[in-house]
Amino acid sequence: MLAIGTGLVWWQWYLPTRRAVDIGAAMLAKQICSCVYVASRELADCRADQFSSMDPIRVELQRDQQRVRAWLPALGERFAAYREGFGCALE
Amino acid sequence: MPHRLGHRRRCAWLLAAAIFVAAPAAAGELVPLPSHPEALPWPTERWPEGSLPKDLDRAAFDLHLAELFGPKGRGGFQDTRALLVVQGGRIVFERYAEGFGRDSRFQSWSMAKSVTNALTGVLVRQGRLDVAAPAAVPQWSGPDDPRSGITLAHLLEMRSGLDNADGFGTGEDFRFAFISRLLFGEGSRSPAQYAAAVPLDHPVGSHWEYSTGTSILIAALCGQMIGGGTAGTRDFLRHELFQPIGMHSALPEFAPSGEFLGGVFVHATARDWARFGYLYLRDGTWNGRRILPQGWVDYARTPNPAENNRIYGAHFWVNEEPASDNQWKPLPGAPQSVFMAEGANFQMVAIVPTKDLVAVRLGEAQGTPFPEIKEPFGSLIAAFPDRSAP
Repeated sequence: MLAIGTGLVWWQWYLPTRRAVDIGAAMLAKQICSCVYVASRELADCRADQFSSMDPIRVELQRDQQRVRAWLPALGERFAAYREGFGCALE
Repeated sequence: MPHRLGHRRRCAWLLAAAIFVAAPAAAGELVPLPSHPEALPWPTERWPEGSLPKDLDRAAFDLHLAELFGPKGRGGFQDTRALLVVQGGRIVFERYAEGFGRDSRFQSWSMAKSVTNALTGVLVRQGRLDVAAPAAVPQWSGPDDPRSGITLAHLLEMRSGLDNADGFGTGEDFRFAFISRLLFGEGSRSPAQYAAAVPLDHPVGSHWEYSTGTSILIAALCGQMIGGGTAGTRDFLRHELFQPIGMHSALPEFAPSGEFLGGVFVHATARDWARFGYLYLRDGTWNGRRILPQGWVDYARTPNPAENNRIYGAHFWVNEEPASDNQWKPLPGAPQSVFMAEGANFQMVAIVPTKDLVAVRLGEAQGTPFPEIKEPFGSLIAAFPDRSAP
């Protein structure tokens, strides 16, 4: 029973959530990266422009590398980086 | 009887399409594009400035301006951050929300598609691409592959029949819509490949379906033709498009695999987005130099002949009445002659030949139903007087 229950949770909740977090983290990483490094805006302003459904996803600026990390523990993580003359791209 | 009429109309469209492909310059009844005023400098380095016209409908203008810069709030609408109007070659109105200004670069969403139209146009002018030729996508090259019949024109007109529509407007959760997977999910590392690796869901050429993947595919085809990878495309865009028209702030972004993203993400100031619109208002010419081939702008602003389309040309929107209930008129309140680059959150560069005008609106509009945010902008444009083509 427990195995079936765990499987159901895995199938019905964990996998779709992981996919959603992966897409949300990528979108957030890319959008925040462009907003901070191309548009020269403050992180808080940049975050306020993003969908509220992505609020649980954490964001960290790695300023020394002009890079953005967006993640939700155990569920997903994506990075975007700025390159002079080319803007931001996902990694 | 109605069915027969429909069939006849389709035949007429197909015939028109055949003629059109052969002679793009001879397209339908389009309002002529006005010329740049003599003796006025082109806005390459500096935008000439003027004042609002005396015959402006001032009450209507003020009303819609207030709506566009209305109360803000996250997820709210009327969050306009830049509004700029050019008439007769001069900036006659310009306003920014607090925290933004002339030097602020705004990231486009789908307005980038119209930049891809320009990129393609330059390559066509140089004789390096032919819109009537099948698109050189390796995945489609098999002799029995029905996708081998897809031309560059089909892609530009969003009627390839490929099953890669963005997936909005069908009730699909945005997180799992094709565009999300393409840009941010499993397609994000190589979106052009991801967009090409789909079957047809309609016969080639018959059905219009808005697809960011298709724009990225075109950008990749352009990049292939230009060569030199990411830097090659970036430099080509700079030297052949952005620099000649003074669009110095323009910054296109690229996929991890190196291709210009083409369907989204070009950054530029409001003044530079206005320069982009001005290039199209002036028929693809700039200060005596032809940037886009003869007839290219008319091609972009002529509704393409897909059976379910009246509002889309070739990577530009056209302000006609939609062909079905699940489509919207692109800019209610504004004249029919308007054609436009448009992006999510209601970013718009509207080109208005009958008023010799370009209007730019940038900002946010998350979650706002289309007509609510569009009508004030369309009506603001309508407040400007007509100017006949010289």
